[in-house]
Amino acid sequence: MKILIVDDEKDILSSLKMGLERNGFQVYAYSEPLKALADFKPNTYDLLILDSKMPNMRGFELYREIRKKDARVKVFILTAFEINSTDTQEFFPDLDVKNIIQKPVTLAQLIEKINA
Amino acid sequence: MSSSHIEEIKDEEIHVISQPNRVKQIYLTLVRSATSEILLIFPTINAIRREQNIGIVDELVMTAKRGVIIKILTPEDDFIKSQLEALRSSRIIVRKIEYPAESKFKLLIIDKNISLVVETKDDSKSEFTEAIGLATLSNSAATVQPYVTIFGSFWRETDLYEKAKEAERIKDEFTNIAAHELRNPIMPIITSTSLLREDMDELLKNPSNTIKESINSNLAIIIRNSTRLLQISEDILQVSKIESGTFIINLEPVDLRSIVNFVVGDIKNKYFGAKTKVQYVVELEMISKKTGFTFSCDRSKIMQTLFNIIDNATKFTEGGIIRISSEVKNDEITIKVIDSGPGLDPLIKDKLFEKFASRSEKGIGLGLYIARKIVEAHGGRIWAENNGGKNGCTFSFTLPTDLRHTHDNKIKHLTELTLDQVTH
Repeated sequence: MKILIVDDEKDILSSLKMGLERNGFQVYAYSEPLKALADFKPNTYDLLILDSKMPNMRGFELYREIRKKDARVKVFILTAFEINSTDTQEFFPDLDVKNIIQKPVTLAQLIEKINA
Repeated sequence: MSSSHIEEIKDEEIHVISQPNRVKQIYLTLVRSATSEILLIFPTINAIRREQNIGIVDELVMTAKRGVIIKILTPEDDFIKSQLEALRSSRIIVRKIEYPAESKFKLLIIDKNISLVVETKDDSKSEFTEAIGLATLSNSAATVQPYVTIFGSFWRETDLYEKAKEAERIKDEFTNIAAHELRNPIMPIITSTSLLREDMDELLKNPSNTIKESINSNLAIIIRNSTRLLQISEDILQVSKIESGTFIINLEPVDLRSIVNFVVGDIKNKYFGAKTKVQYVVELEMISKKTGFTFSCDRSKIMQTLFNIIDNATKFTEGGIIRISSEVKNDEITIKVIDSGPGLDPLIKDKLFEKFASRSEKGIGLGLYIARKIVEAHGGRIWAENNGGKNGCTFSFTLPTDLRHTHDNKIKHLTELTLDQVTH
Protein backbone atom coordinates (compact mmCIF):
# COMPACT_ATOMS: atom_id res chain seq x y z
CA MET A 1 0.00 0.00 0.00
CA LYS A 2 1.38 3.38 -1.06
CA ILE A 3 0.91 6.33 1.30
CA LEU A 4 1.82 9.96 0.68
CA ILE A 5 2.34 12.05 3.84
CA VAL A 6 2.63 15.85 3.81
CA ASP A 7 3.46 17.59 7.10
CA ASP A 8 5.78 20.54 7.72
CA GLU A 9 6.69 19.13 11.13
CA LYS A 10 9.76 17.15 10.09
CA ASP A 11 9.83 15.08 13.29
CA ILE A 12 6.22 14.02 12.83
CA LEU A 13 6.99 13.20 9.21
CA SER A 14 10.10 11.13 9.87
CA SER A 15 8.67 9.22 12.82
CA LEU A 16 5.45 8.42 10.94
CA LYS A 17 7.41 7.34 7.88
CA MET A 18 9.58 5.04 9.94
CA GLY A 19 6.62 3.65 11.88
CA LEU A 20 4.44 3.00 8.83
CA GLU A 21 7.33 1.50 6.85
CA ARG A 22 8.01 -0.95 9.67
CA ASN A 23 4.39 -2.01 9.34
CA GLY A 24 4.74 -2.81 5.68
CA PHE A 25 3.52 0.40 4.05
CA GLN A 26 5.35 2.19 1.26
CA VAL A 27 5.67 5.79 2.43
CA TYR A 28 6.45 8.95 0.42
CA ALA A 29 7.06 11.93 2.72
CA TYR A 30 7.04 15.66 1.94
CA SER A 31 7.54 18.57 4.31
CA GLU A 32 6.84 21.13 1.57
CA PRO A 33 3.21 21.16 0.41
CA LEU A 34 4.03 22.99 -2.83
CA LYS A 35 6.63 20.40 -3.73
CA ALA A 36 4.22 17.62 -2.85
CA LEU A 37 1.66 19.14 -5.19
CA ALA A 38 4.16 19.68 -8.01
CA ASP A 39 5.30 16.04 -7.79
CA PHE A 40 1.78 14.64 -7.34
CA LYS A 41 0.68 12.08 -9.90
CA PRO A 42 -2.90 10.77 -9.88
CA ASN A 43 -3.61 7.04 -9.46
CA THR A 44 -0.28 6.55 -7.71
CA TYR A 45 -1.20 6.39 -4.03
CA ASP A 46 -3.74 4.43 -2.04
CA LEU A 47 -3.90 7.02 0.72
CA LEU A 48 -2.86 10.62 1.38
CA ILE A 49 -2.24 11.93 4.90
CA LEU A 50 -2.19 15.75 4.92
CA ASP A 51 -1.49 18.11 7.80
CA SER A 52 -4.13 20.84 8.11
CA LYS A 53 -1.81 23.75 8.90
CA MET A 54 1.32 24.30 6.86
CA PRO A 55 3.34 27.29 5.69
CA ASN A 56 2.95 28.38 2.03
CA MET A 57 -0.15 26.31 1.53
CA ARG A 58 -2.70 25.23 4.07
CA GLY A 59 -3.86 21.64 4.23
CA PHE A 60 -7.30 22.35 2.81
CA GLU A 61 -5.81 24.21 -0.16
CA LEU A 62 -3.51 21.30 -0.87
CA TYR A 63 -6.49 18.99 -0.48
CA ARG A 64 -8.51 21.01 -3.00
CA GLU A 65 -5.68 21.10 -5.53
CA ILE A 66 -5.02 17.39 -5.20
CA ARG A 67 -8.72 16.62 -5.55
CA LYS A 68 -8.64 18.41 -8.93
CA LYS A 69 -5.94 16.03 -10.07
CA ASP A 70 -7.25 12.88 -8.41
CA ALA A 71 -10.91 12.77 -7.44
CA ARG A 72 -10.85 9.24 -6.03
CA VAL A 73 -7.84 8.84 -3.78
CA LYS A 74 -8.61 8.36 -0.09
CA VAL A 75 -7.48 11.28 2.10
CA PHE A 76 -6.85 11.64 5.83
CA ILE A 77 -6.45 15.13 7.27
CA LEU A 78 -4.26 15.37 10.35
CA THR A 79 -4.97 18.36 12.55
CA ALA A 80 -3.67 19.68 15.85
CA PHE A 81 -6.61 22.10 16.08
CA GLU A 82 -9.95 21.37 17.65
CA ILE A 83 -12.13 19.51 15.17
CA ASN A 84 -15.00 21.86 14.61
CA SER A 85 -17.79 20.57 12.41
CA THR A 86 -18.67 23.90 10.75
CA ASP A 87 -15.04 24.67 9.86
CA THR A 88 -14.61 21.12 8.65
CA GLN A 89 -17.60 21.40 6.34
CA GLU A 90 -16.41 24.74 5.05
CA PHE A 91 -12.85 23.69 4.31
CA PHE A 92 -13.32 20.03 3.41
CA PRO A 93 -16.90 19.94 2.10
CA ASP A 94 -16.73 16.48 0.55
CA LEU A 95 -14.54 14.87 3.19
CA ASP A 96 -15.99 12.35 5.63
CA VAL A 97 -15.51 13.65 9.18
CA LYS A 98 -14.14 10.27 10.24
CA ASN A 99 -11.19 10.91 7.91
CA ILE A 100 -10.18 13.94 9.96
CA ILE A 101 -7.72 12.79 12.60
CA GLN A 102 -6.87 14.77 15.68
CA LYS A 103 -3.20 14.96 16.64
CA PRO A 104 -1.68 13.40 18.63
CA VAL A 105 -2.59 9.98 17.29
CA THR A 106 -0.63 6.83 18.14
CA LEU A 107 0.87 4.71 15.41
CA ALA A 108 -1.41 1.82 16.36
CA GLN A 109 -4.53 4.02 16.12
CA LEU A 110 -3.41 5.40 12.78
CA ILE A 111 -2.75 1.93 11.34
CA GLU A 112 -6.16 0.80 12.57
CA LYS A 113 -7.73 3.76 10.71
CA ILE A 114 -5.74 2.98 7.57
CA ASN A 115 -6.84 -0.66 7.57
CA ALA A 116 -10.45 0.11 8.45
CA MET B 1 -51.99 68.08 12.80
CA SER B 2 -51.19 69.65 9.45
CA SER B 3 -48.12 68.84 7.38
CA SER B 4 -46.15 71.57 9.20
CA HIS B 5 -46.37 69.79 12.54
CA ILE B 6 -42.91 70.81 13.55
CA GLU B 7 -43.74 74.49 13.36
CA GLU B 8 -46.92 73.78 15.25
CA ILE B 9 -45.11 72.64 18.36
CA LYS B 10 -43.35 75.88 19.14
CA ASP B 11 -44.03 75.62 22.84
CA GLU B 12 -43.15 72.51 24.79
CA GLU B 13 -45.72 69.98 23.72
CA ILE B 14 -46.39 66.27 23.42
CA HIS B 15 -48.60 65.00 20.61
CA VAL B 16 -50.07 61.56 20.25
CA ILE B 17 -50.48 60.67 16.59
CA SER B 18 -52.76 57.83 15.66
CA GLN B 19 -52.88 58.14 11.85
CA PRO B 20 -50.11 56.08 10.27
CA ASN B 21 -49.84 58.30 7.19
CA ARG B 22 -49.16 61.32 9.37
CA VAL B 23 -46.54 59.41 11.31
CA LYS B 24 -44.82 58.60 8.02
CA GLN B 25 -44.88 62.26 6.94
CA ILE B 26 -43.62 63.52 10.29
CA TYR B 27 -40.86 60.90 10.27
CA LEU B 28 -39.56 62.00 6.85
CA THR B 29 -39.92 65.70 7.66
CA LEU B 30 -38.05 65.31 10.95
CA VAL B 31 -35.12 63.53 9.29
CA ARG B 32 -34.95 66.32 6.67
CA SER B 33 -35.11 69.01 9.34
CA ALA B 34 -32.10 67.75 11.34
CA THR B 35 -29.20 70.19 11.51
CA SER B 36 -26.67 68.55 13.83
CA GLU B 37 -27.52 65.03 15.02
CA ILE B 38 -29.92 62.15 14.50
CA LEU B 39 -30.19 59.28 16.97
CA LEU B 40 -32.25 56.39 15.64
CA ILE B 41 -33.29 52.94 16.78
CA PHE B 42 -34.69 50.47 14.26
CA PRO B 43 -36.87 48.08 16.25
CA THR B 44 -36.74 45.03 13.96
CA ILE B 45 -35.12 43.70 10.79
CA ASN B 46 -38.48 44.08 9.02
CA ALA B 47 -38.68 47.74 10.11
CA ILE B 48 -35.56 48.54 8.11
CA ARG B 49 -37.05 46.93 5.00
CA ARG B 50 -40.33 48.83 5.42
CA GLU B 51 -38.54 52.11 6.01
CA GLN B 52 -36.38 51.65 2.98
CA ASN B 53 -39.61 51.40 0.97
CA ILE B 54 -40.88 54.74 2.31
CA GLY B 55 -37.54 56.38 1.48
CA ILE B 56 -36.01 56.69 4.96
CA VAL B 57 -32.73 55.00 4.06
CA ASP B 58 -32.18 57.41 1.13
CA GLU B 59 -33.24 60.35 3.28
CA LEU B 60 -30.71 59.39 5.99
CA VAL B 61 -27.92 59.07 3.41
CA MET B 62 -28.74 62.56 2.07
CA THR B 63 -28.92 64.03 5.56
CA ALA B 64 -25.53 62.52 6.40
CA LYS B 65 -24.11 64.21 3.27
CA ARG B 66 -25.25 67.54 4.70
CA GLY B 67 -22.87 66.89 7.60
CA VAL B 68 -25.44 65.72 10.16
CA ILE B 69 -24.03 63.10 12.54
CA ILE B 70 -26.23 59.99 12.46
CA LYS B 71 -26.05 57.16 14.96
CA ILE B 72 -28.20 54.09 14.41
CA LEU B 73 -28.85 51.11 16.64
CA THR B 74 -30.35 48.16 14.84
CA PRO B 75 -30.68 44.42 14.83
CA GLU B 76 -28.65 42.93 12.00
CA ASP B 77 -28.79 39.90 9.76
CA ASP B 78 -27.64 38.84 6.31
CA PHE B 79 -30.91 39.89 4.66
CA ILE B 80 -30.47 43.58 5.41
CA LYS B 81 -26.71 43.69 4.88
CA SER B 82 -26.99 45.81 1.70
CA GLN B 83 -29.23 48.43 3.36
CA LEU B 84 -26.85 48.73 6.32
CA GLU B 85 -23.86 48.82 3.97
CA ALA B 86 -25.47 51.79 2.14
CA LEU B 87 -25.80 53.58 5.47
CA ARG B 88 -22.32 52.71 6.72
CA SER B 89 -20.63 53.79 3.51
CA SER B 90 -22.22 57.24 3.96
CA ARG B 91 -20.37 57.72 7.24
CA ILE B 92 -23.44 56.86 9.31
CA ILE B 93 -22.46 54.97 12.44
CA VAL B 94 -24.51 51.79 12.57
CA ARG B 95 -24.22 49.45 15.51
CA LYS B 96 -25.81 46.13 16.14
CA ILE B 97 -27.99 45.71 19.18
CA GLU B 98 -30.16 42.88 20.45
CA TYR B 99 -33.52 43.82 21.91
CA PRO B 100 -35.89 41.94 24.07
CA ALA B 101 -38.76 40.82 21.81
CA GLU B 102 -41.41 42.76 23.74
CA SER B 103 -39.89 46.24 23.31
CA LYS B 104 -40.36 46.82 19.60
CA PHE B 105 -40.47 50.60 19.57
CA LYS B 106 -38.83 52.92 17.10
CA LEU B 107 -37.04 55.92 18.54
CA LEU B 108 -35.95 58.97 16.59
CA ILE B 109 -34.25 61.93 18.27
CA ILE B 110 -33.52 65.04 16.22
CA ASP B 111 -30.82 67.48 17.38
CA LYS B 112 -31.39 66.31 20.96
CA ASN B 113 -34.62 68.38 21.16
CA ILE B 114 -37.38 66.54 19.30
CA SER B 115 -38.30 62.90 19.81
CA LEU B 116 -40.57 60.59 17.86
CA VAL B 117 -41.44 57.24 19.36
CA VAL B 118 -43.42 54.80 17.21
CA GLU B 119 -44.98 51.59 18.45
CA THR B 120 -44.72 48.49 16.24
CA LYS B 121 -48.18 46.97 16.13
CA ASP B 122 -47.67 44.18 13.62
CA ASP B 123 -44.10 43.45 12.55
CA SER B 124 -45.24 40.89 9.97
CA LYS B 125 -46.74 43.58 7.71
CA SER B 126 -44.63 44.79 4.82
CA GLU B 127 -46.19 48.29 4.61
CA PHE B 128 -44.90 50.90 7.06
CA THR B 129 -48.38 52.31 7.61
CA GLU B 130 -49.86 48.88 8.35
CA ALA B 131 -47.14 47.81 10.75
CA ILE B 132 -47.14 50.77 13.12
CA GLY B 133 -49.43 51.73 15.98
CA LEU B 134 -49.49 54.92 18.02
CA ALA B 135 -46.70 57.47 17.91
CA THR B 136 -45.70 60.26 20.26
CA LEU B 137 -43.98 63.39 19.05
CA SER B 138 -42.42 65.68 21.62
CA ASN B 139 -40.24 68.75 21.87
CA SER B 140 -40.44 68.82 25.64
CA ALA B 141 -37.12 68.46 27.42
CA ALA B 142 -38.90 66.35 30.03
CA THR B 143 -39.57 63.62 27.44
CA VAL B 144 -36.71 64.13 24.98
CA GLN B 145 -33.88 64.14 27.56
CA PRO B 146 -34.75 60.75 29.07
CA TYR B 147 -34.84 59.30 25.53
CA VAL B 148 -31.41 60.79 24.80
CA THR B 149 -30.16 59.15 28.01
CA ILE B 150 -31.72 55.80 27.09
CA PHE B 151 -30.16 55.95 23.63
CA GLY B 152 -26.79 56.83 25.21
CA SER B 153 -26.89 53.86 27.53
CA PHE B 154 -27.82 51.48 24.68
CA TRP B 155 -24.93 52.95 22.69
CA ARG B 156 -22.46 52.33 25.52
CA GLU B 157 -23.84 48.84 25.94
CA THR B 158 -22.86 48.06 22.34
CA ASP B 159 -19.32 49.30 23.17
CA LEU B 160 -19.09 46.86 26.06
CA TYR B 161 -20.60 44.11 23.93
CA GLU B 162 -18.00 44.68 21.19
CA LYS B 163 -15.17 44.68 23.75
CA ALA B 164 -16.46 41.52 25.40
CA LYS B 165 -16.76 39.84 22.01
CA GLU B 166 -13.22 40.87 21.09
CA ALA B 167 -11.87 39.56 24.42
CA GLU B 168 -13.71 36.30 23.81
CA ARG B 169 -12.25 36.05 20.30
CA ILE B 170 -8.69 36.64 21.59
CA LYS B 171 -9.22 34.00 24.28
CA ASP B 172 -10.53 31.47 21.74
CA GLU B 173 -7.66 32.21 19.38
CA PHE B 174 -5.19 31.76 22.23
CA THR B 175 -6.74 28.45 23.29
CA ASN B 176 -6.72 27.20 19.72
CA ILE B 177 -3.09 28.19 19.09
CA ALA B 178 -2.06 26.78 22.46
CA ALA B 179 -3.82 23.47 21.71
CA HIS B 180 -2.12 23.31 18.32
CA GLU B 181 1.34 24.07 19.72
CA LEU B 182 1.00 21.57 22.56
CA ARG B 183 -0.35 18.73 20.42
CA ASN B 184 2.20 18.96 17.64
CA PRO B 185 5.30 18.00 19.68
CA ILE B 186 3.40 15.25 21.53
CA MET B 187 2.77 13.35 18.31
CA PRO B 188 6.44 12.56 17.43
CA ILE B 189 7.20 11.80 21.10
CA ILE B 190 4.46 9.14 21.13
CA THR B 191 5.47 7.67 17.78
CA SER B 192 9.21 7.65 18.45
CA THR B 193 8.76 6.16 21.92
CA SER B 194 6.87 3.19 20.50
CA LEU B 195 9.48 2.80 17.74
CA LEU B 196 12.22 3.01 20.36
CA ARG B 197 10.67 0.14 22.30
CA GLU B 198 10.77 -2.03 19.18
CA ASP B 199 14.37 -0.88 18.60
CA MET B 200 15.35 -1.99 22.11
CA ASP B 201 13.88 -5.49 21.53
CA GLU B 202 15.70 -5.66 18.21
CA LEU B 203 18.97 -4.45 19.78
CA LEU B 204 18.98 -7.41 22.17
CA LYS B 205 18.44 -9.86 19.31
CA ASN B 206 20.66 -8.27 16.72
CA PRO B 207 22.84 -5.30 17.76
CA SER B 208 23.49 -3.96 14.25
CA ASN B 209 24.60 -0.45 13.29
CA THR B 210 21.25 0.19 11.61
CA ILE B 211 19.40 -0.41 14.85
CA LYS B 212 21.83 1.83 16.75
CA GLU B 213 21.23 4.61 14.23
CA SER B 214 17.49 4.17 14.56
CA ILE B 215 17.75 4.41 18.36
CA ASN B 216 19.77 7.60 18.07
CA SER B 217 17.37 9.19 15.65
CA ASN B 218 14.33 8.29 17.77
CA LEU B 219 16.05 9.60 20.91
CA ALA B 220 16.87 12.84 19.10
CA ILE B 221 13.20 13.27 18.16
CA ILE B 222 12.07 12.62 21.74
CA ILE B 223 14.63 15.00 23.29
CA ARG B 224 13.92 17.78 20.80
CA ASN B 225 10.18 17.61 21.09
CA SER B 226 9.99 17.20 24.84
CA THR B 227 12.23 20.26 25.25
CA ARG B 228 9.93 22.13 22.90
CA LEU B 229 6.87 20.95 24.81
CA LEU B 230 8.42 22.12 28.08
CA GLN B 231 9.17 25.51 26.63
CA ILE B 232 5.68 25.97 25.19
CA SER B 233 3.95 24.96 28.40
CA GLU B 234 6.20 27.35 30.40
CA ASP B 235 5.36 30.15 27.96
CA ILE B 236 1.63 29.53 28.17
CA LEU B 237 1.77 29.38 31.96
CA GLN B 238 3.79 32.59 32.11
CA VAL B 239 1.37 34.46 29.84
CA SER B 240 -1.62 33.40 31.90
CA LYS B 241 0.22 34.65 35.02
CA ILE B 242 1.05 37.95 33.31
CA GLU B 243 -2.55 38.41 32.24
CA SER B 244 -4.13 37.43 35.53
CA GLY B 245 -1.76 39.71 37.44
CA THR B 246 -0.14 36.93 39.47
CA PHE B 247 3.28 37.54 37.94
CA ILE B 248 5.80 38.05 40.76
CA ILE B 249 9.54 38.71 40.60
CA ASN B 250 11.52 36.76 43.20
CA LEU B 251 15.02 38.16 43.59
CA GLU B 252 17.91 35.91 44.47
CA PRO B 253 21.67 36.09 43.90
CA VAL B 254 22.28 34.73 40.42
CA ASP B 255 25.58 33.92 38.67
CA LEU B 256 25.21 35.26 35.13
CA ARG B 257 27.80 32.84 33.68
CA SER B 258 26.04 29.80 35.06
CA ILE B 259 22.56 30.74 33.81
CA VAL B 260 23.82 31.67 30.34
CA ASN B 261 25.63 28.33 30.07
CA PHE B 262 22.56 26.44 31.31
CA VAL B 263 20.36 28.12 28.74
CA VAL B 264 22.81 27.50 25.90
CA GLY B 265 22.81 23.82 26.92
CA ASP B 266 18.98 23.73 26.84
CA ILE B 267 18.93 25.33 23.41
CA LYS B 268 21.44 22.77 22.14
CA ASN B 269 19.11 20.04 23.44
CA LYS B 270 16.17 21.58 21.66
CA TYR B 271 18.03 21.46 18.36
CA PHE B 272 19.68 18.11 19.14
CA GLY B 273 20.33 16.22 15.94
CA ALA B 274 19.46 19.19 13.70
CA LYS B 275 21.30 19.25 10.41
CA THR B 276 22.62 22.81 10.70
CA LYS B 277 24.66 23.55 13.77
CA VAL B 278 24.75 27.00 15.33
CA GLN B 279 27.91 28.00 17.18
CA TYR B 280 27.40 29.85 20.48
CA VAL B 281 30.08 32.25 21.74
CA VAL B 282 29.70 33.57 25.30
CA GLU B 283 31.66 36.72 26.26
CA LEU B 284 30.48 38.04 29.63
CA GLU B 285 31.82 40.93 31.65
CA MET B 286 32.18 40.77 35.41
CA ILE B 287 29.49 42.72 37.26
CA SER B 288 31.79 43.97 40.00
CA LYS B 289 35.08 42.93 41.58
CA LYS B 290 33.25 42.31 44.83
CA THR B 291 30.45 40.11 43.53
CA GLY B 292 32.06 38.67 40.40
CA PHE B 293 29.31 37.58 38.01
CA THR B 294 26.61 37.55 40.67
CA PHE B 295 23.69 39.98 40.88
CA SER B 296 20.09 39.97 42.09
CA CYS B 297 17.32 38.93 39.71
CA ASP B 298 14.60 36.33 39.29
CA ARG B 299 16.66 33.32 38.28
CA SER B 300 14.06 31.23 36.45
CA LYS B 301 12.44 34.20 34.73
CA ILE B 302 15.73 35.66 33.50
CA MET B 303 16.66 32.18 32.27
CA GLN B 304 13.37 32.08 30.39
CA THR B 305 14.10 35.50 28.89
CA LEU B 306 17.56 34.34 27.78
CA PHE B 307 16.10 31.10 26.43
CA ASN B 308 13.40 32.87 24.44
CA ILE B 309 15.82 35.38 22.90
CA ILE B 310 18.58 32.88 22.10
CA ASP B 311 16.02 30.36 20.82
CA ASN B 312 14.53 33.01 18.55
CA ALA B 313 18.00 33.88 17.25
CA THR B 314 18.74 30.18 16.70
CA LYS B 315 15.60 29.65 14.61
CA PHE B 316 16.76 32.31 12.18
CA THR B 317 20.50 31.63 12.21
CA GLU B 318 20.98 28.48 10.20
CA GLY B 319 24.51 27.33 10.70
CA GLY B 320 25.80 30.73 11.82
CA ILE B 321 27.22 32.19 15.01
CA ILE B 322 25.32 33.60 17.99
CA ARG B 323 27.29 35.76 20.42
CA ILE B 324 26.03 36.36 23.94
CA SER B 325 27.80 39.27 25.57
CA SER B 326 27.33 41.59 28.53
CA GLU B 327 28.43 45.06 29.56
CA VAL B 328 28.15 46.73 32.94
CA LYS B 329 27.69 50.45 33.46
CA ASN B 330 26.36 52.38 36.47
CA ASP B 331 24.33 49.71 38.29
CA GLU B 332 23.00 48.38 35.01
CA ILE B 333 23.91 45.34 32.98
CA THR B 334 23.19 45.13 29.25
CA ILE B 335 22.98 41.63 27.81
CA LYS B 336 23.22 41.31 24.04
CA VAL B 337 22.39 38.35 21.80
CA ILE B 338 23.98 38.99 18.42
CA ASP B 339 23.13 36.66 15.55
CA SER B 340 24.34 36.28 11.99
CA GLY B 341 20.89 35.51 10.57
CA PRO B 342 18.86 37.40 7.95
CA GLY B 343 18.04 40.34 10.24
CA LEU B 344 14.67 41.62 11.44
CA ASP B 345 11.61 41.15 9.25
CA PRO B 346 10.47 44.70 8.39
CA LEU B 347 6.83 43.51 8.53
CA ILE B 348 6.92 42.79 12.24
CA LYS B 349 9.89 44.91 13.36
CA ASP B 350 7.63 47.20 15.40
CA LYS B 351 5.53 44.40 16.86
CA LEU B 352 8.34 42.01 17.83
CA PHE B 353 7.62 42.13 21.54
CA GLU B 354 3.85 41.82 21.23
CA LYS B 355 1.80 38.66 21.54
CA PHE B 356 1.45 36.36 18.50
CA ALA B 357 3.79 38.47 16.34
CA SER B 358 5.81 35.42 15.27
CA ARG B 359 7.18 35.16 11.75
CA SER B 360 8.56 31.76 12.46
CA GLU B 361 6.49 28.90 11.12
CA LYS B 362 7.11 27.01 14.30
CA GLY B 363 6.37 28.70 17.53
CA ILE B 364 3.50 30.23 19.30
CA GLY B 365 4.64 33.86 19.14
CA LEU B 366 4.80 34.36 22.89
CA GLY B 367 8.54 34.14 23.61
CA LEU B 368 9.57 37.73 23.00
CA TYR B 369 6.38 39.09 24.60
CA ILE B 370 7.22 37.17 27.77
CA ALA B 371 10.85 38.30 27.58
CA ARG B 372 9.69 41.92 27.47
CA LYS B 373 7.29 41.49 30.40
CA ILE B 374 10.00 39.86 32.52
CA VAL B 375 12.60 42.51 31.70
CA GLU B 376 10.13 45.33 32.38
CA ALA B 377 9.08 43.76 35.67
CA HIS B 378 12.76 43.97 36.69
CA GLY B 379 12.81 47.65 35.68
CA GLY B 380 14.85 47.00 32.55
CA ARG B 381 14.39 47.70 28.82
CA ILE B 382 14.43 45.42 25.80
CA TRP B 383 14.92 46.22 22.12
CA ALA B 384 16.15 44.78 18.83
CA GLU B 385 18.08 46.28 15.92
CA ASN B 386 19.70 45.14 12.72
CA ASN B 387 23.49 44.87 12.72
CA GLY B 388 23.72 46.57 9.35
CA GLY B 389 25.19 45.20 6.15
CA LYS B 390 22.74 42.28 6.16
CA ASN B 391 24.75 40.85 9.00
CA GLY B 392 22.05 39.61 11.36
CA CYS B 393 20.49 41.44 14.27
CA THR B 394 21.02 42.10 17.95
CA PHE B 395 18.51 41.67 20.76
CA SER B 396 19.52 43.62 23.86
CA PHE B 397 18.05 43.98 27.31
CA THR B 398 19.10 45.79 30.43
CA LEU B 399 18.69 44.80 34.05
CA PRO B 400 19.42 46.85 37.14
CA THR B 401 22.20 45.20 39.18
CA ASP B 402 21.16 46.83 42.44
CA LEU B 403 17.66 45.42 42.99
CA ARG B 404 16.50 44.36 46.45
CA HIS B 405 13.21 43.19 47.91
CA THR B 406 11.39 45.49 50.29
CA HIS B 407 9.48 44.08 53.25
CA ASP B 408 6.19 44.31 51.35
CA ASN B 409 7.74 42.12 48.65
CA LYS B 410 8.12 44.83 46.04
CA ILE B 411 11.41 45.37 44.26
CA LYS B 412 13.38 48.59 44.39
CA HIS B 413 16.82 49.91 43.59
CA LEU B 414 19.21 49.77 46.54
CA THR B 415 19.65 53.56 46.46
CA GLU B 416 15.88 54.03 46.91
CA LEU B 417 15.81 52.02 50.10
CA THR B 418 16.56 52.80 53.68
CA LEU B 419 18.53 50.10 55.49
CA ASP B 420 15.57 48.70 57.44
CA GLN B 421 13.63 48.13 54.20
CA VAL B 422 16.17 45.69 52.84
CA THR B 423 15.48 42.03 53.42
CA HIS B 424 18.48 40.63 51.61
